[in-house]
Amino acid sequence: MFKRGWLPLVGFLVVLTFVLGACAPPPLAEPLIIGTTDKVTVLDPAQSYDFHTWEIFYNVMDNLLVYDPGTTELKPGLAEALPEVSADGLEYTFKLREGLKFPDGTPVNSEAVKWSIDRSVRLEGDPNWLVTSFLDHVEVIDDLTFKIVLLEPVGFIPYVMVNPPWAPISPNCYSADKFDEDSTCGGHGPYKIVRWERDVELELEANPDYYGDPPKWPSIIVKYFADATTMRLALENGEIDVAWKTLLPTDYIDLAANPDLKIIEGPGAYIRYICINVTSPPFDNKLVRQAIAYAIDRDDISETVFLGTHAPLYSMVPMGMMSHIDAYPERDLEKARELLTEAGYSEDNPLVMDLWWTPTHYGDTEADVATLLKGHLEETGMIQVSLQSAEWATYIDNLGPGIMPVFLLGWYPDYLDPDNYQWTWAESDAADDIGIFYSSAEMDDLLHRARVSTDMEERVSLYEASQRLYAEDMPTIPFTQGSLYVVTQKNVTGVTLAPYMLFPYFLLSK
Amino acid sequence: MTSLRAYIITRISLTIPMILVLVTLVFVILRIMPGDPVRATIRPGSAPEYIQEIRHNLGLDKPLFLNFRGSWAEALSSSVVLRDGPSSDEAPALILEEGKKLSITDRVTTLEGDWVRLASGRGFEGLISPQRLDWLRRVTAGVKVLEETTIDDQRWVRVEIPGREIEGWAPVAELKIRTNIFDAQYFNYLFSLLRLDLGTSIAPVRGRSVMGDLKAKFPATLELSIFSMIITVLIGVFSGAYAAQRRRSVADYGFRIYSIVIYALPVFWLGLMLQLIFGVRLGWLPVYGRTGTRLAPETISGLFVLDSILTGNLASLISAIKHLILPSLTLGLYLSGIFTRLTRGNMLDVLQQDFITAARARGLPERVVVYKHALKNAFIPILTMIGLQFALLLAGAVLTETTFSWPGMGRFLVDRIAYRDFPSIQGGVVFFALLVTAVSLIVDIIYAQVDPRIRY
Repeated sequence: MFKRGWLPLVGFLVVLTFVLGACAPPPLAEPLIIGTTDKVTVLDPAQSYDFHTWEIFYNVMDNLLVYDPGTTELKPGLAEALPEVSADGLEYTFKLREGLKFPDGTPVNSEAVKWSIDRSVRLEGDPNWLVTSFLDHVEVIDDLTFKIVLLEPVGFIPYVMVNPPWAPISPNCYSADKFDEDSTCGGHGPYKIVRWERDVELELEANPDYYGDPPKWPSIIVKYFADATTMRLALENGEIDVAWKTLLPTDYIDLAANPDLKIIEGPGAYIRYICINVTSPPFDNKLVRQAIAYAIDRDDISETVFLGTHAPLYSMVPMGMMSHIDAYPERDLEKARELLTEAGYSEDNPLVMDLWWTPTHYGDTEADVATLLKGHLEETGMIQVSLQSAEWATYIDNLGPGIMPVFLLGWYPDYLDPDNYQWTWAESDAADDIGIFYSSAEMDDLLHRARVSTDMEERVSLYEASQRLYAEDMPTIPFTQGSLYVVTQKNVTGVTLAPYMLFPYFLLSK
Repeated sequence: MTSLRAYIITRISLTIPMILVLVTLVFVILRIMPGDPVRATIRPGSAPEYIQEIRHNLGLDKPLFLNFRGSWAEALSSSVVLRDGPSSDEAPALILEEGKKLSITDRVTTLEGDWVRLASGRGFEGLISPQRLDWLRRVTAGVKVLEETTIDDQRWVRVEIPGREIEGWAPVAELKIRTNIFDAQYFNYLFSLLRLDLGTSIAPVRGRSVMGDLKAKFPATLELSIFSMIITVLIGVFSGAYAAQRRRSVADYGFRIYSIVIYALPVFWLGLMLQLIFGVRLGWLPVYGRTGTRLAPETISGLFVLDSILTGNLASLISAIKHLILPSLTLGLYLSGIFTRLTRGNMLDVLQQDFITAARARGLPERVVVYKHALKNAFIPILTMIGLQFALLLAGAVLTETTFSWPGMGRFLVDRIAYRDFPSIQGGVVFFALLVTAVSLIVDIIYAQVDPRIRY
């Protein structure tokens, strides 16, 4: 313990430090604060593969081409114009804008572009396949001109090239031979990263050298929340300006009544679906799969569980995307019973099945989804469902044959093209990897032709055909498509949502 | 005090077997639990070859406890053909040339005999079957074809693949196999633990240093724990002493009911209520985080209150304390019930002893008798409790940290458990074990100071 005589001295020192500390730093611009329950994984475009980190990159790291905010159209980003495509569809020639610099002062030139793409290939991160499945090599022509050479012609390649593993980054800022997990280098974009505390805050500041329109608000802070309830409280308390992904469905209903807040809804390309292992009896019988599709009540799930924040979906290709058709039938219990009877089931001899779901990965609503689906199937009187659940790490391990014959999954787009919503389940090799083991020569032919075609009308008709064929075979059954919701304080403007699901912070203002 | 030193040394050396048992338990439980950390982080539908490769790079394809299948192999003859599966009917994948060492990733016995699965080191140059090339093209564009040849009537291509592993199966009979039975996941982990290396995370972010993560998260939890403990002890001890002094009064019954009710409340519910009342309704206090926007002090110790005092940052200090109030009150109130009851019980015993009667007889004011003489003597069991409660405090911190978005160890561990991130969970458990040991040791030492009768 201190002797009496020490106390005044200690007190004096404490006071002194505060007096000295009061020589305050210059005031910073007032930030616009965005809350989220998502997490940043790795701040390195060669390794991250999740929507939130990609969204940060979308705001700090322009690509050669970028989305025109709020639309699914592409416009030139770091490139001066859209690329010239060679006649065989293999070579894309880009020219960069002149005089661009990364935040560290390194010029944005052809060498940097080549270095960045080669780095993504070399480091073999998780999103690596988005480059290596398509790219043969990058060829530098001069300081600002370069050629991207593909392995085979791919109709939708520009939509693949907007993804972070293709983004030009500074060779002087990122490591050549390893991932930089907490890099604040960014790229050339509307903002630059000025501060990063993992799981706490990320601070962005307008990039003064940006080629495009300067961001509407000079300073953005993204705050990371452990759960949705705390984020909602912070919003109601006025501590954050914007609550982004993801509040609970009930929160959106409650907050709509709050006069200080507003809710903005946008399109989303997030789909939910039932997967069926088509090699596992009795689901190898097409009639059984079709009966399930006829029995489920999409409107009920959409209204009861998601309170209208998800819309009923009748194709694997989401609504609003090129070529979407309502390929799956609407609910028809009689038809479901007929199909089950034809497959040899009756009320005395019901189909007994397991339905698998996972409790946390798809949010707190998932238990309700599974329970409702069980109810819908049992309403036929000829199906008995027992629900089985497993945590995500186990669930994903179970995708193999036999363990989970029928299970629930969700899908966010890797790139905005029907290819991403068809190939993944319908192409024979890909379907094995996801545990449904679907295989159809006719389907493979349609998908391979659609992938290499550059004629839009032909691609639309091919994907319409593939959706119809797929809805006939039914290895998966889509049920809802999620919308995006943002809740903001009344004074926030410029919220722009689009099916590519990345939130442009640079259009926000208050 | 040499006996105290001997005592401390004994206690510390006892921690070593304790941690060994603990690590072994956690290790076994984690492996028994279903779930795979590698698959949890990559998207469904990734190529199995890619998953296998990540697993190999992390050493997760090694046997768990003892390695009898061999660690690495060398070709006996000038060339051994590796195949896609453990059978001579499978397609040949690559040729293993003499003198090249490959690590063994699996071993099976089939009708044809013993087979091992071999992986080349990262960055392969050698002969590969053309069928294999298609797959490689798909996952890595960096394949350079150097030449094409035919060996034993089969086509082969010589390729150069930077930084990718190639795998295949070969019969054991054609190889020279080296075995180190301790080259297994469990012993590799123990060996690195001996070097104080907690390894790196598997999921959700591969390659982060576990030690680094723990170091970053621990100060937040420590700060919360210290403040909660202060609140617990203040509320618990004084309410208990007061209740004992006014035995069978309304206040006594009140505090006894309080102690049960508060302990029975779910701690996250208590937190939520405090958030709603003091954060949302009254708007007095922030409901999440450790400091306000841009108010984090320069990091010295990681304890924001201490750091802001050291750097003389008054705004940070105020913000840090404001942010601490609700979470530490939540956790502090939750644990205070136990202390109320304990103090009350001990005080009642002490108040009946002779020296209290003597003190009263000397005419000392009742306040001095109770709070100075009696409380001091009732304090020893309370100290024990503080030591014991520390573990409970860390457990309670998990829920409180989630409720208040407090970036501490509790939240960190819960996140990682969901991903089955073995190294982080194991590292966290070792860390917690050391912490609890250290705290109980400190409590034991303080005993000797408080109670001169205690000798070690």
